[in-house]
Amino acid sequence: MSCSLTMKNISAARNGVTLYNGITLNLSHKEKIAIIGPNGCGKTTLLEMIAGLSLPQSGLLELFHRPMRSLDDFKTVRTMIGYLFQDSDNQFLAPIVEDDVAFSLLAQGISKEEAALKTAMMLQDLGIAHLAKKVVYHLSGGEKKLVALAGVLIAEPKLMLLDEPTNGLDNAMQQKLVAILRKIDKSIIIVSHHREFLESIVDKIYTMTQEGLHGTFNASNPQKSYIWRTYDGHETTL
Amino acid sequence: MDQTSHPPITPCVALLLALVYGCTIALQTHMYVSMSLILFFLAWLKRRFLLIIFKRLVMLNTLIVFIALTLYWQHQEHLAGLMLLRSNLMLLCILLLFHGCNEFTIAIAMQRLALPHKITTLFFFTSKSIFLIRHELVLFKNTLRIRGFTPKTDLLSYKTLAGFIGTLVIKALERSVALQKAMLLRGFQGEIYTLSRRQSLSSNDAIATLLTLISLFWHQGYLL
Ligand SMILES: Nc1ncnc2c1ncn2[C@@H]1O[C@H](COP(=O)(O)OP(=O)(O)OP(=O)(O)O)[C@@H](O)[C@H]1O
Ligand SMILES: [Mg+2]
Repeated sequence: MSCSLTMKNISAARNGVTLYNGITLNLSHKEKIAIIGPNGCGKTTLLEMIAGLSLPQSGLLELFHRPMRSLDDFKTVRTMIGYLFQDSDNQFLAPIVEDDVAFSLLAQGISKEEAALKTAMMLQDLGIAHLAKKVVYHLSGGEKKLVALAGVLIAEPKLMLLDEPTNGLDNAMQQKLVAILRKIDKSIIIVSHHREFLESIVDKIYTMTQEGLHGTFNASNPQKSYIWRTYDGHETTL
Repeated sequence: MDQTSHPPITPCVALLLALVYGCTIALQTHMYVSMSLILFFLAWLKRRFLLIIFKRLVMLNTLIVFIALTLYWQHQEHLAGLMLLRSNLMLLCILLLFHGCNEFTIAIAMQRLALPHKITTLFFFTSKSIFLIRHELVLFKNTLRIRGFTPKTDLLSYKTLAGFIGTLVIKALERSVALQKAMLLRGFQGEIYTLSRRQSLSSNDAIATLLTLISLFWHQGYLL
């Protein structure tokens, strides 16, 4: 099976303190996984390494079958990766909601009309169309998260890295997010402390410790297990 | 704040007017009453915000008055008056033109005037950083208030203040690192974009341009 991501014996340190030795992880094409672990164990650090924001101390990292040895290597895969920051404030590049959501599209050279249409649709899908003209800094925490998420989803990345996507979202919004993420036919890594939320989306849940990642199959997702059994390259929904 | 309402003067025109007015006024050796003609029109357009704008002008004047007084004491009365008038005309013009425009609107206008992308993005991200640092300042003040801190002239007050300044520096640094990360991840190509359409020129723009030219070249009412 083709792999979106391969990590072999990755180790990382912050300020000289080793966070973990020997993280090994395979993420197949269109697989959805979750990573959980205590605060400060290095989950965000791991996502940043996958996104090419920092390099591991040692180990092998491959994205879409290409080895990533230097930060320059990531240039070729940059547009294929979407990243949702733990703190949404850090994500915004334009102060108006619709401009920020459209940013990646416009940066890729897509016409303004098409970008505007896609943006409107994306905001509609997330139920935040009324925020389109608002200034991002004046939004509530949950609204910011949704706008940031819209900015990630709209670029249709092949690999999505979501750092605590449910932070600050109310129950209804979390349900909506579950539905959206389930529908997306891409590789996704979610970091969250919210077990129930994860169990309704992902195929596998990894627990992070100093020794590495321990994966367990997620059996509590009936829909997912159904899709597994019938998996033949096309997704079948119930 | 909503972006839907357009500013009375198109940002591109406002930038050009500010440039022409500012540069020409800066080179004048004599001042005339007629030079303030455009300001009256702009003040009328922004009549609802005049109080705020004048407060800003007064604040900005503290330094200018200080320099003017220094010149005055050195018996350069004409120069002192000239400096005071010139800088106030320029400041008031800029304040009136750009009040209510956010940094993004101005940056987009700069881009539309074909200024190099480096300059426009530098302008935009600098003003954004200033905005964020100001935001941190407000947050810190609120934290102090909520946690029952009253500034005194004791060691704790100074320590708290020093700690705050240190935190501000670190936060500014962290913000810039985060911004760089966001740029990398979101495919920043050295350009900023907007979905909003180019604002078409209005009659206000035409009147303002005409009045600016009259203000600058029709010298009436000698002041000094
Ligand atoms: N910029 C930094 N400089 C120094 N140390 C850092 C920095 N960022 C994180 N760390 C440290 O690295 C460790 C791992 O941080 P990381 O953000 O990856 O944790 P996390 O698993 O995402 O935690 P959380 O669940 O709270 O988000 C923490 O102990 C943290 O103190
Ligand atoms: Mg984290």
